[in-house]
Amino acid sequence: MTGRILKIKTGYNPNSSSIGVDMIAFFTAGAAVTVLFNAIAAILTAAKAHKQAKPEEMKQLSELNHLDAQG
Amino acid sequence: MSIMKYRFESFGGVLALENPPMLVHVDRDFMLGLGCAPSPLWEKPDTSLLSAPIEVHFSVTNACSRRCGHCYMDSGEPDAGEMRAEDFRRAIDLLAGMGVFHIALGGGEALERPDFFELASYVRDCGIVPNLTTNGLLLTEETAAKCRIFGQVNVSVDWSENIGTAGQEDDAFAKRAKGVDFLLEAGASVGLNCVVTRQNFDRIGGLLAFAGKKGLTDVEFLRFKPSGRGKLDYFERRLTPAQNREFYPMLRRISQECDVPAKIDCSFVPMFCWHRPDKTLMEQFSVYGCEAANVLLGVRSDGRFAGCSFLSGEESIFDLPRLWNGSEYLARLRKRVDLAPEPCRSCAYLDICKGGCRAVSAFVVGDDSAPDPECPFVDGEDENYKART
Repeated sequence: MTGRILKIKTGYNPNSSSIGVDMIAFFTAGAAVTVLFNAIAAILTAAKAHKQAKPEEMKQLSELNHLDAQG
Repeated sequence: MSIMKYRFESFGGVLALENPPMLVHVDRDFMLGLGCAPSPLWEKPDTSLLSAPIEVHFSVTNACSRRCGHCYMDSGEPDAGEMRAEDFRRAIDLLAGMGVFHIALGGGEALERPDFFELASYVRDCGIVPNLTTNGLLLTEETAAKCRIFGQVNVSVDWSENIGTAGQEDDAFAKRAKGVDFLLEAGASVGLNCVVTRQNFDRIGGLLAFAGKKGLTDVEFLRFKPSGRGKLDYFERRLTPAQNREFYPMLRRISQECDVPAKIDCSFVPMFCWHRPDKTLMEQFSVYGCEAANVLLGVRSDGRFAGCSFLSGEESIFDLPRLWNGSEYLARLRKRVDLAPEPCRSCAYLDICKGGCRAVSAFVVGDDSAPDPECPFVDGEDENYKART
């Protein structure tokens, strides 16, 4: 996989008033960040493969691309 | 495991996974590696200003029969000109078109709106993950089952309640706890919200213990803000300088003891920064300070939007596509870092913290661009604190 993951935000933020900041990363120290980011890259690559298997989802992505190009 | 959707940004793109739930910012090469064609946005300079909000906080009604004395939305009666369902759907169409990933639905009390689940379903149908904040008092077995549509539901716990003190929980907390049980039984992802005040600061442990025992997803702790009715007794309820400094280490310790993840809201980031966390880690894990008018946007139930839910704005959500890059109001909010005075100007964390909470600065200092007066780097209490400890 080429390129870099710049940042991640896990989970959802149901809070309707402000952005939640997950403290877990700071509880568990940062030594495993590289491993974690590599794992996420693998997940994204796998998700991409999954995506290719589903034409209807590819259509959704194409529509987003189209929207972006318009913007 | 699937990519729900992605969008391009000047730096590359943002990808949203729903299982596991995650937003991932990647560079241009990563996007190309996923098979994406280059975006026109990449012809522009790489900037931290996003092409649209990542998440929008949307009040679907201002009605709330609870009428808490400190409500930041001044909720109780519906807003004049509250959006009809068709207006709401039009707004969601617009946000979906801009590439918004998540919408946090709230109020008022969202469940008091009769057509609420129809609105939430529409958000999901548009490819946006709806999340919900509720006081939990209207949750039943039936409504909880409908909450499976949300990415996560957070039940707000009132500061005035006797939280987590064995045998002393009041009736409202017991009802909320029952709501939590309904949600868990329905298989929803459930968390808690708690506004931290001087009065409940020492009882945070009880709430985390409750959350750990129930196996909840997380607990988010929010700073008390001088917004809505929160202005009325702000100076009596806000944390003391010593509590602001003790908050993060205490939360870290108790969260680990109770084995439940803790989150803080963006306005607590100055207090977190005071402990000199690793900046690279903060960036990698999306620790956001004030991201009003960039990562997030707040929308009132009458359709007016603001940088966040604690700020006020007069522009209409229906004009957002045009205003995102053309509004003087939004542009002013985004200039805070560039114009930051001392001591923020010299602070190593300025680009993350962005000067702290504007709502606090506006109320306490009278200037929403002033440094957050309660930031431990700003409040002038450092020497006193060191002397006491």
